Amino acid sequence: MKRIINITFILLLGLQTYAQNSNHDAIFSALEDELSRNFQKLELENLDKPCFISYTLFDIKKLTVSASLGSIINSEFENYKTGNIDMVVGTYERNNQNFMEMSYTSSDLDAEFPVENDYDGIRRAFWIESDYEYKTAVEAFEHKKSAINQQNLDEDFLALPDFSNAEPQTKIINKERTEIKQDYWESVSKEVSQVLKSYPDLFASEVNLFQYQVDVYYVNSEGSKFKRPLDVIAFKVIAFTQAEDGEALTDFLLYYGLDEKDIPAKETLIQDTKKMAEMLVKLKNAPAYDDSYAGPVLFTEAAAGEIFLQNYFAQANGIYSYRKPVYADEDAERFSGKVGKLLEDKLGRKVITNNLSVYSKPGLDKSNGQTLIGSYQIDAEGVVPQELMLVDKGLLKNVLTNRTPSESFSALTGNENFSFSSYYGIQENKAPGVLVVEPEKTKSEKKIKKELIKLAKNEGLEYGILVRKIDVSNSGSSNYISGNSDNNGSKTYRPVYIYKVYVDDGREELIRGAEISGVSVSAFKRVEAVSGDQFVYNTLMEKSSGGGGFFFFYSGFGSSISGIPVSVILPDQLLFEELEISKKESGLKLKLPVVENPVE
Amino acid sequence: MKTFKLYFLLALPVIFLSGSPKIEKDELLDILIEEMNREMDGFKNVENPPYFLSYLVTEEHSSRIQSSFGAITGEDNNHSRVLDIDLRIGNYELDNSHEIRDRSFFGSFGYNRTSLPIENNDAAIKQIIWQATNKKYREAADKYAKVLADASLVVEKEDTSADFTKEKAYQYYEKPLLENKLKIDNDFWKQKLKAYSAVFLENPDMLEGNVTLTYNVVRKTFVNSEGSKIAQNLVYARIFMSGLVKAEDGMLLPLHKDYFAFDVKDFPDDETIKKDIRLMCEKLTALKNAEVVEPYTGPAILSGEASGVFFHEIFGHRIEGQRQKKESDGQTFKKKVGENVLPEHLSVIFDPNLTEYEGYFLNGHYKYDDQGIKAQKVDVVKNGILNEFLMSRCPIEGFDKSNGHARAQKGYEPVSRQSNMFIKTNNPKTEEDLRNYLIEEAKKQGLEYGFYFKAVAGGFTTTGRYRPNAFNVTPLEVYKIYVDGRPDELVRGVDIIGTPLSMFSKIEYAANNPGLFTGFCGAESGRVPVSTVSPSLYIQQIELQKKGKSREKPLILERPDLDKDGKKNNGEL
Repeated sequence: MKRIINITFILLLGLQTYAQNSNHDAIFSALEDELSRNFQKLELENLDKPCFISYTLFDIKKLTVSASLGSIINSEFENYKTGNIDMVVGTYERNNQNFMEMSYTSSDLDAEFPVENDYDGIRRAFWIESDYEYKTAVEAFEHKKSAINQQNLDEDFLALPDFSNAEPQTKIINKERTEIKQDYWESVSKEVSQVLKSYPDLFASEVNLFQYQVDVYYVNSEGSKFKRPLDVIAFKVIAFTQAEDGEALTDFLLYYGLDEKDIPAKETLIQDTKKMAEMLVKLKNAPAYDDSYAGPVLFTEAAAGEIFLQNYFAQANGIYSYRKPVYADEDAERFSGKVGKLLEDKLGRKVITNNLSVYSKPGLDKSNGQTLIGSYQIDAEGVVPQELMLVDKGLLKNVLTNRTPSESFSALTGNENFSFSSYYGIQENKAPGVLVVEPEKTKSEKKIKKELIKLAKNEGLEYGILVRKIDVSNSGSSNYISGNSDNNGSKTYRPVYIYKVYVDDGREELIRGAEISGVSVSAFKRVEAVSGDQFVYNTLMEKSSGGGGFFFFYSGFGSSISGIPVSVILPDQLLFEELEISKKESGLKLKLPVVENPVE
Repeated sequence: MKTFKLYFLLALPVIFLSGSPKIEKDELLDILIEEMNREMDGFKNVENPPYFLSYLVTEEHSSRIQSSFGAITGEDNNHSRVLDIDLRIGNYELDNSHEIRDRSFFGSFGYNRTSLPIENNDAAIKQIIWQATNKKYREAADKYAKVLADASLVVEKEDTSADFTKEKAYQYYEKPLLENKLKIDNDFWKQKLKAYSAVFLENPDMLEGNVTLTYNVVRKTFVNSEGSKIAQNLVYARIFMSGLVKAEDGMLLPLHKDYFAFDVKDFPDDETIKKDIRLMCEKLTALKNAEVVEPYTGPAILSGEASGVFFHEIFGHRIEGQRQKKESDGQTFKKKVGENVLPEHLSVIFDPNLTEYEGYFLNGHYKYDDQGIKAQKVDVVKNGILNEFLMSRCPIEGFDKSNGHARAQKGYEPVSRQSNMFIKTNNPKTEEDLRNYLIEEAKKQGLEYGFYFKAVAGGFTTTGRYRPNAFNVTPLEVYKIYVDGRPDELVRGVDIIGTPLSMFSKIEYAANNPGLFTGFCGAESGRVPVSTVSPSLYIQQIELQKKGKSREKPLILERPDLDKDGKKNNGEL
């Protein structure tokens, strides 16, 4: 009798411990049990077994609110789970990874992830997915072996391992959060959007709020295990109008943070929105650019941050290790497109003005009290990131890597990051978290303006050019909208606010209908001056995988957000020696509406 | 399905006498009318002003709860308003909707969603409508210029009817539904759905076992420049259950069942639903082990449900009015009005006004269509003779009025579509009779067996001119009926295929047992709810083709809840 009582007592204790141990135990147990079962047992006759499996589970809470002129258009709170599997078959040296073929596969069965922390439900979802991933991986590996047999590949290239070893890590970060406040954001969105009712010169406007609270759970077959937050909040105000000649004009405000505390108070949002509306009305009445220009251009704040990211980190050939894949055939190679010249190949050489050094500091979470949304403590592959000098006074020293070794780099920097995607959920991509761009010599804002004027004068120009804002309104930040690459990797940007700075008296004149071209790594080598004031640029960076291929994006007002959370701390003014400005050629000019705006 | 109670109208319609339309104060209706009038006025002095403008706002409160094997896997609650605009330039005879030789590279995607604020905010709604109307006007003016150019370039059309029917203005008003009708008790239903889908766990063969509840409350507000003002409510409640097994040869075998009602309280009780799931699981296990059928031609019986889908595909899509005009369409029945198109004992009727039929709730119900025309009963075929078509406001030769069958999913342009279809016979046979006919015919053809199609998933058809007209119906539950009296045998792996015209003459007899299919039909104007009520049919000759199947092997590992070795931590948390 006594014994029975004892057992009961222990059982009760056990249960209690679990309850206090928070809800992640059921999730980790499910992930670990299902992973070990699959790792041990997944096998098809005559085919390779998995040598590595990782499971990632995303526990997602998401709020989307949109409003216009004081009314809610849409407000939706979602709570769901989804998952991701990395399935490597073969050996670390040679496996299914780093292989490109044109094939379409789709799963027979849908994995249904439970909303609640349901042990069996989570296992069932990973069971269905693992079966599919394993079969797809072994098939790809067989195809890869066959492709290698048919191609005359370099021995060094073949000797390169497909997957790096990594130290197992355990890290549990339980983030304390305040609940997502749907009512609060509805009311803020309404009030902020209401402000735009007083501007009959604006033709359309919308306020959007997106908030993600995500807990990421990860386990792998090497024994790594982590739980970490992946939160982001974005508040966006966007307005549209047309100039008298029909040119479409859009302006926006975009605030990013990790949680609601990072978004300015309602009063500030309202003030900023008013200022934005007034600026946009000024722009509507500004003269259209009707000249061509090659000379000094000064970028400030977000515009500077954006072009820096796009030139060094938004493409696969940026400051990253690059692993050339084995192509299944010529079609696969053709479709993959050209990656372009790799920065990785310029190790030890100059890649930016000698006045700048670039550091990767993923652990840095604040700068002067401002939240850095790119900060993280463990990456998507369970690697703890290191602080790293990427560029030392203009010379490339290091690149960002993940667990796929490249010909020049095998050290792990822990830069496999999570990317939000409106169509595919949460994905992974090699990317920085927090970047710090440090100057050697700086100038004051006044002196930089003088320098701009001096350079323009030297060129015999009537004015220099100042860019305060470029268009990244359609998404977090995407070069396929605001900037288009030409064959030499030089990009064209659509500015929102661009000014002529006259050399005779320094006055600034707002213009519209201009395009900036010639922005490239070469241009960054000839940055003439930078300011000593730092600017923190938080963004969701869209990263493209290669040069070619198709890119699909949602045009119109944003109904979702996408990209990788990245923060850059950099001088708030970058003066380029020479870029080109021309009349805007892209985009149709539509006639003005026949009927008057109903908002008076 | 017979357990359903009678359906009472959710809102009492208020119908106004013409002359003094006393539509109640409705803010959204007022905003739409004001903006429509302002737009028509604003366009007055342009070169090609619109001669017709309509706004349709589809407001929807939707709830969706998904469950799988006893766990909730998704929950969405949404409230939205979507605007659809019809703006016409020219006149009723010739306007921008006129079919032209389309050489644009991408063609035109029919879908264009404009979201409106869900609150009745005058400025916010009007500004979005204004921008959308402006865009629509630019597109219409551009298209109209192309229509005029085309008229000079292209040979005259086979069908010279006008582009838009002249109709009277309709005024109809229902009050918005009360707040408590717009939502369901999610927590209550989550518990129920968990319990329902947990039943699938009892069967070790099940790879998927899902139960989904959807509840949509739709309010359609329509105004046009001819004076129509309509506000109507539509409610759809549906529980959808699906189970899936995989045969050893890789073939995926799904079964579905759904309950449709206008109110969640009209769903069957828990025990009935659980019993139905158990039955589904038993059938799936039997299917998994069932024999794969070889291609076949010979006699068959289609259950009421299967006949409904069969008729919907082979017949229904070919009596949709605007197809008779489209130059690229096969126009199977265009010249057959007044002629025999079906066996003499069969009649086909469409009636969107009906909400229920012999205890069945009808998914294809509405009071006014998406062009604001009153829903009408249409006797498409009377005693085998083709009488008329399902008409939108797109006239065709010989038919210059709509009969209220213009339908669209929100965001799409409406075209004539099916609603509630009824197949009736004036010479009903018993099911036993049909079996005897089948056995007799199979013997005559020297066959060992005929087929009985009990349940189907759906189907599709092509009606174009440039590819052979064909249809495909996807059966879920098929039995062999042996001529020598052996018991019926469940089989798998075939689709019903054929060309429509050859089928009509093969439909020999219908039974006295109407069966229901409720579902959704997808076509040019998106997804619309439809129902069919049809008796079982005996078809003298049918063609079966092998079903496409997955080449993927069965799952390597057992379902985790069945794999006792695989639980390191016992999972008893």
